[in-house]
Amino acid sequence: MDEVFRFSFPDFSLSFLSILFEGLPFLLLGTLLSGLIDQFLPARMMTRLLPRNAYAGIAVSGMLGAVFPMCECGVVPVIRRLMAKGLPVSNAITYMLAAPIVNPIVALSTYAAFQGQQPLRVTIVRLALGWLVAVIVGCVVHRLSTGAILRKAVVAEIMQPSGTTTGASGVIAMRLWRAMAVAVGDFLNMTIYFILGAAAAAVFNTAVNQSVIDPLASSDWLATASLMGLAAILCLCSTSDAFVAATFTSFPLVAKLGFLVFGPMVDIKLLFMYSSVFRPKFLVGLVVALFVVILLICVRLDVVLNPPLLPLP
Amino acid sequence: MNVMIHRFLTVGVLATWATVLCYLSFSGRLSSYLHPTFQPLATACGIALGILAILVLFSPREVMAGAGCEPGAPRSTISTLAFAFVLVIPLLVTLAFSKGEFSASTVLNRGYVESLENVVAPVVEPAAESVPRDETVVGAPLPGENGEVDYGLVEEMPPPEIIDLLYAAQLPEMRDGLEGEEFEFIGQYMPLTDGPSQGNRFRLVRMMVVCCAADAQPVAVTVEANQSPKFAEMSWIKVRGIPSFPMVDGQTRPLLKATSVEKTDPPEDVFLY
Repeated sequence: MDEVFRFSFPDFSLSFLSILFEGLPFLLLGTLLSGLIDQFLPARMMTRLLPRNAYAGIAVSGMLGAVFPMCECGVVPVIRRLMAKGLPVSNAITYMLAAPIVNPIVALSTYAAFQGQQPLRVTIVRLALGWLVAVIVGCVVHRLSTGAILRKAVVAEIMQPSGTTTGASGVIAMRLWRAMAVAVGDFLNMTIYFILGAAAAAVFNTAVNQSVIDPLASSDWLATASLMGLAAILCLCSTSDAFVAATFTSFPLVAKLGFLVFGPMVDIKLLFMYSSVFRPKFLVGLVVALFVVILLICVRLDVVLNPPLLPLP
Repeated sequence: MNVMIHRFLTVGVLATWATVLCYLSFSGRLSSYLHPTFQPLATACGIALGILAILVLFSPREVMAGAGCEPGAPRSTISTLAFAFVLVIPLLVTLAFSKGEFSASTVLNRGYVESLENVVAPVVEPAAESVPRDETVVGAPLPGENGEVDYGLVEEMPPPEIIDLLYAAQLPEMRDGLEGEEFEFIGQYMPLTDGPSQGNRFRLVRMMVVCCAADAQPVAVTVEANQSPKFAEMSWIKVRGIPSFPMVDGQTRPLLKATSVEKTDPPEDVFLY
């Protein structure tokens, strides 16, 4: 019997740093954008651009990633600022969950990674499933009160009369200075959570024997649940996770889809980053709901992915 | 006073991160952590953080005071110091301990990749008529019009890597170009603790990366030597040998029959991409 846990600090350090260095540019990009949103996006503009019907607005928010692509590391500070600018919480959460999947870069990488494994079908199903799950969550969140979802500090941020944290007024130069200060503040705050998440991921990544999950590949339910769990542990970037998913050859395709949809929405580092915005109770509910919804949909997708009579692309 | 401490700690944190990223980028050490695709992004991030550090240092006082009042931002000097500590110390400590390559511990935890089906990269269809060879594969040339590969005629081609033997196991046309010829491979030594070890077999390993070292997978081939080699686990070795492709458990697997095995320095890129 192989050892289940072997820890090497140099290996942990290598894995930890590589996760940080890979995600940090995207995090910086997201926070720079959040600073600009804070100072230059007129309050309520987002609300005016979206359909008036709340549910139609949620559905559109789920597709905004196609226009404003964001990976999961950068999207958290952005939605925080968008909420401060009047974007409803349900729309913001829908965008947060969908944008790392429903975007052109992820579509291309998924198609490339699954060459020889129904690439077109997997890509379409991944994007559609990411959008659907985000919209379902957005519709449920729409019925909850803001206080039940967001941390008090974030609610206070949203409730400021101007809709900004530092006041979007004054000459352009001063607003740029303020945008920079907001971006730096957001960057440092989010990096704390990113460091904690990367450390947790690096421990699992280097110290846990990954052969322990192999026996789980025997059933669709177990295989999908275990690959979703693995996605949460590995903390891969949504732009490249498909290359890893494509290699789980002993696992059914539905399990790989669970990996590809759940991973960009929930992983260890994201949990730490989400906790800077959401209340712990809501966060637990969100993670459990995402896990259950994605698992239930994925194991039923076998009919779509392996239809007995349709030719495969 | 609090605003001044906040300002200088912010500058210190940003400058530390900028220095680390720029140092790793310009010293070439970033390749130990990231796939080449992501390296320019990390370099740009380091430069941007350096610029931000300078901007924060010279920003108007009211701007930093406003940022310090932001909900969620550190308020007291102690929490500001704690923030700075968490942002800088883990980075510096892990940087000091990171060796730029993995030990046997992680290799064993991840499990060996010994067939093409488990390679973390867009895989080539084994049954494909024409072979759209993936750019991540190092060394092996495309088969010619008649499907044969002649390494001897393609002098400018880099020598084959371990991963190419895994591809060749699946692609008969590549196999024909490798089988029976002698090649040199550089990799890391791992003793063979399972399968038919017979005392003179070991694994030659290279770590293959898709986006960063965190996803590196140990690609391995079995090497058969004349005598049992004595190397430390994961030490870098140079193996000259003749590839063969015997059937093992109903599958074609690469086996490198070594003519010489010797210790060597690590290659410029320790990872395969």
